Amino acid sequence: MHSTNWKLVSLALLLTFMAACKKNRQTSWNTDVLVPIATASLSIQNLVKDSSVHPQADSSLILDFNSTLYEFNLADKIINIPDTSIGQKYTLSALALPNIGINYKMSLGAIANNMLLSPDPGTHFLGLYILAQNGNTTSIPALNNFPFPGFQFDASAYLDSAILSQGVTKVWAVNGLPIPITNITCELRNTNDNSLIATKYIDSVAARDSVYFELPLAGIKIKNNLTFGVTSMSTPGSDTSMVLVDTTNFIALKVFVTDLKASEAWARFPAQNVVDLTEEVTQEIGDRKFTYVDARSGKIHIFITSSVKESLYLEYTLKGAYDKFGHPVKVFTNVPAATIANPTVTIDSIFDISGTAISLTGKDGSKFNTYTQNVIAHIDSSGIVRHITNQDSINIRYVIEDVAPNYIKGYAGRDTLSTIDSSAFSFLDIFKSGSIDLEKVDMKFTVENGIGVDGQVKINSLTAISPNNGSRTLSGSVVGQTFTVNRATDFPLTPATSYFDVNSNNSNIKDLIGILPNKLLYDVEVKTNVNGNTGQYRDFAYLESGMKIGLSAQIPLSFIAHHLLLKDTIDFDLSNTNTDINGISDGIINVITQNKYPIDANLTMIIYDDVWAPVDTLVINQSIPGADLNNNCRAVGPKRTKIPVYVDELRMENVKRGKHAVVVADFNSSTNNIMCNGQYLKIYADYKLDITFTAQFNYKVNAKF
Amino acid sequence: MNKLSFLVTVLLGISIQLSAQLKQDSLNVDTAVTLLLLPPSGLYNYTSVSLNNPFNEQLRPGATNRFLVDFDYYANSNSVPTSIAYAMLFKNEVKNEWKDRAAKRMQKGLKFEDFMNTGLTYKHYFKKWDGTLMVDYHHRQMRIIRGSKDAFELLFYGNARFEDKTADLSNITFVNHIYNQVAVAIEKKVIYPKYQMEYGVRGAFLQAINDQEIRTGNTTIYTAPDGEYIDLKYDLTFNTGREGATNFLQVNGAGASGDFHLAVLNNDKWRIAADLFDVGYMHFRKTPVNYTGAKSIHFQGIVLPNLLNFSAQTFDTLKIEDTLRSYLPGKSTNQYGVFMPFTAQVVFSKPLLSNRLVLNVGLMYRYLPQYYVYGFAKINYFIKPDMVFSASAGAGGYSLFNLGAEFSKSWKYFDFTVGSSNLIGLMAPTHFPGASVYLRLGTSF
Repeated sequence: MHSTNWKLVSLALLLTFMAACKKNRQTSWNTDVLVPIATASLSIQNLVKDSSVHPQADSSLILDFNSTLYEFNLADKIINIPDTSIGQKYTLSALALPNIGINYKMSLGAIANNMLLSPDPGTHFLGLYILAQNGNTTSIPALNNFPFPGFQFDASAYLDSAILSQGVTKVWAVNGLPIPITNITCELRNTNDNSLIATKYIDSVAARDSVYFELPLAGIKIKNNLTFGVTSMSTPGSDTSMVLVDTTNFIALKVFVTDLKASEAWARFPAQNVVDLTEEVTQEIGDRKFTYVDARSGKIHIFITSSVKESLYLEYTLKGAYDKFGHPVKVFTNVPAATIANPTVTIDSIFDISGTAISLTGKDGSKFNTYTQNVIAHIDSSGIVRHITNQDSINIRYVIEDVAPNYIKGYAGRDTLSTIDSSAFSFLDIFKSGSIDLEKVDMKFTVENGIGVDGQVKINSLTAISPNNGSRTLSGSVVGQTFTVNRATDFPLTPATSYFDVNSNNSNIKDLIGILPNKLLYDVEVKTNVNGNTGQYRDFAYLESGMKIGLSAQIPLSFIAHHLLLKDTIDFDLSNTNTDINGISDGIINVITQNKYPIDANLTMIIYDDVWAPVDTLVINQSIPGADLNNNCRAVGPKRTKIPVYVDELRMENVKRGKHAVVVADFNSSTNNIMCNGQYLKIYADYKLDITFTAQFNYKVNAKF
Repeated sequence: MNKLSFLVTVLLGISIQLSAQLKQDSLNVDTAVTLLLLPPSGLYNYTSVSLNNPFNEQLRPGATNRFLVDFDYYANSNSVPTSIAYAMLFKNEVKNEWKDRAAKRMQKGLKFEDFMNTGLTYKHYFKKWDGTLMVDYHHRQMRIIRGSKDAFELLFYGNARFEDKTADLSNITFVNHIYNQVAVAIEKKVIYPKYQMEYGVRGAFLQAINDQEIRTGNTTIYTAPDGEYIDLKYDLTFNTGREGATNFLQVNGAGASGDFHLAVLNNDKWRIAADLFDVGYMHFRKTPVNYTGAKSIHFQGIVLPNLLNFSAQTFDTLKIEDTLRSYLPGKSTNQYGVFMPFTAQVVFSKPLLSNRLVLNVGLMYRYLPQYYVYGFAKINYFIKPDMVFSASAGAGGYSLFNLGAEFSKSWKYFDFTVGSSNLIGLMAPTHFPGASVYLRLGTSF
């Protein structure tokens, strides 16, 4: 390329570079800006936080104040239900076996036919004779030891064998023959090994008569096949009497093996309750006697260990307890059968009983603090032969724990609660320091009793602490006086509120308030049920209900101020002017006040940065005159004061970092007002100190195009 | 400034390439041919006080193609010294004395317009048809500002001088159009027995890049004594089509415009030409933002947003109490359209002194608020047949009084024109308003 062209290209590149260098520059010019930058309004209504201010009919302000000095909660003090448990080791000493029964009949004809089989000629003959005389009236001769075959009980469906701790064989023998039978010997044997279980001898059974007898079985081992037999039986015959021979007449035996309880058995156990126990547990809760508790929360904790080799079904019932749906409180637990490999089964379960209403009056409804509990351990028939001994056991422990009552009823007992403590006192904290001479202070101690218990309250001492003015202790008749507090009423809960006046007549309360305390030290004593159970177990308490002791006041804002400080914090950020604060150089910040308080003030304003470090004291103790008063000592209108503050460039750099400002007004009641000098001045609703900060500054506009 | 320097760079680069090419071509020509741009073909090439007329430029005899690179910028104001416009263009500080002069000169209010038009044009002459086809691309910018003196003072001096006074900000107009123009035009000369006529028409597609329009109705600001508060009463409409323009080629809006040319001439005896330019409309359809409202606000903690930094986010980012926010103009995203400020011009030209001198007198009107008809006179003196010096004077429009000068030089294939319609503002920008500069590089072959 030609050299001239190179020069031109270089020139073009230079122009481009110069333009690029100006990329971040902006067109600028100087302006003189006059803008409001922040406002603050120091009015009682704006500054009051915990208290509330109300205008009265004449629009003067009255300060409502309510503060709780002391409060105790029901759950902390009165309702405290300790944990309780019921636990027992149950053995299977009452393990039941199934009953076994059989009916046996043998007719006279069958007996005669058996006689025919006898080798004894006499017996044989008699057999023939009876059969021959069937239907005839004749005499029957005596006969000794005529045969009577035995019969068997098959119990294999129920057990293999068992060692009985209890049992009986009940026998009812009926003689339907026309002749008596005598010398009867009965036996019960294990069929398999023919071992004798029991035997019974009976002298005689008259004709057409019956006899009942029992064969005890305790301590006997029985097996699954039993034989009941009559080993000998005789008859004296009819002697000379003529009797009707009827071969359908019979001898009947009803045998019933029952009440079997085994100390050890290899058996198919029938369904049965192996444990069924109802017990009461009474708690000692001081002198409190509760009849009812409504559990907001609580648990039933179940611990079970079982060595029983059959599945158990446990049912726990907390008697007189109902859940929130009205259902009885029952807890069901399945306990698996113990095995050889796992000879002990353990269960640890927790059941929620939140919302449960529990009667604490025991089984018969006449007790207190008493739970009633029923435990049933049940086995179902599994059809499987199990080896169970009376050494097998179930260890059951039920714990009612962590019961937090929503509500209790009964007799709450007598308590004396003494508290020495302190309470923040925010009343008049709008005034940061100084002191105030209030025209009138009427306060009340307020006792709000949310518990259905009679009580008494006594203020032993009350001391006000001021951060600036020391302390004052309450004196007068109100101190040490016992105040009776009525009980709350129920359904619905209605707390009983009692008031006790504290005023200039019975105390030095004005002095206490006048030092602008921020803390109260108190010594308060509360007694409940001083006269005992006068409520006849009708005391009650809800979880939320408590007893509150407070101070309330309605104080007309009419006072003489002594260096009374009002303080407010405002946003003070020059960037809120929507200008680029980098463009601000120097200028004047005007502090313009409109004071409608009839009280002179000294104004101080300190600017803070974003981390609350002071960056500039813009104004310090600048005098602001109070508003002028009319003949009624009421301000006629705000008094305007303008305080111009020149801020040079160096100082402006600090001000630019400002994000907040604290404005403090130090009020002192004027002493040079002839009309209202020395008088208490009422504060009206329209009284306030408005402060506007405006700035007239040199501002360099940086504009983008 | 970046765009301006870019264009200068482009123009210089193109000119370098063209001149190199032309030099190369001239070496291949055995005999130097003297270009005769004298009448009738070049006699009426310099009738305007700017380059804004694509039809007032004839190809040299024998040439059928012409390629042009042009740049045209002017600014006019009734009061604002050019230095303020420069400061805004080149991002410099606006000095107090400039503001004072503007305020002193400003009687009824502020008027300001500036205009930039730069691009490439190709022309082809069809001998059989005896007409010319033109295709061109131009990048265009125009800003129009009209406002009260109070608005100027509030903006450039701040509100302190309005303490306990009301500043009237009514009827402010701020328009900023930036767009590209792709056009096709035909020009036809018809010869009648006693005179000749030129007809020209040009149609253009407009690719909108950026657009802002601010208009106020009844709008005032009252600054309380000591600045305790500021009361704003406003009636504002603000439209912008800038949002979403992520790159140069994005079509934020589109439009069309037309130019119309009619001239009657009697060879080298006289010529009268009438032109109508930029009759068009642009529609902004992609993410437009509008603010409208007519309310009153009592401010106790802010100043007004800077109108010169006005954007679609201005009200959104305004630090203001929530309770006052509802008093701000309502925001919407409605599509909107604007009519382009057209220009109408009539020029009478009379050659004198055996065609060595051409006297042009003309009237120009732009469709702008409170625009007065701009009258001008321009004398072209042909120092040599291929070298023309022109001087012009004009008054009206948004300007006071303008003096201009122009110089043109032609070679066989290459020609250039450089000029200004406002030399006073250009030479003494700190004292006088207005400025103008234009440059045209062309080649015919």
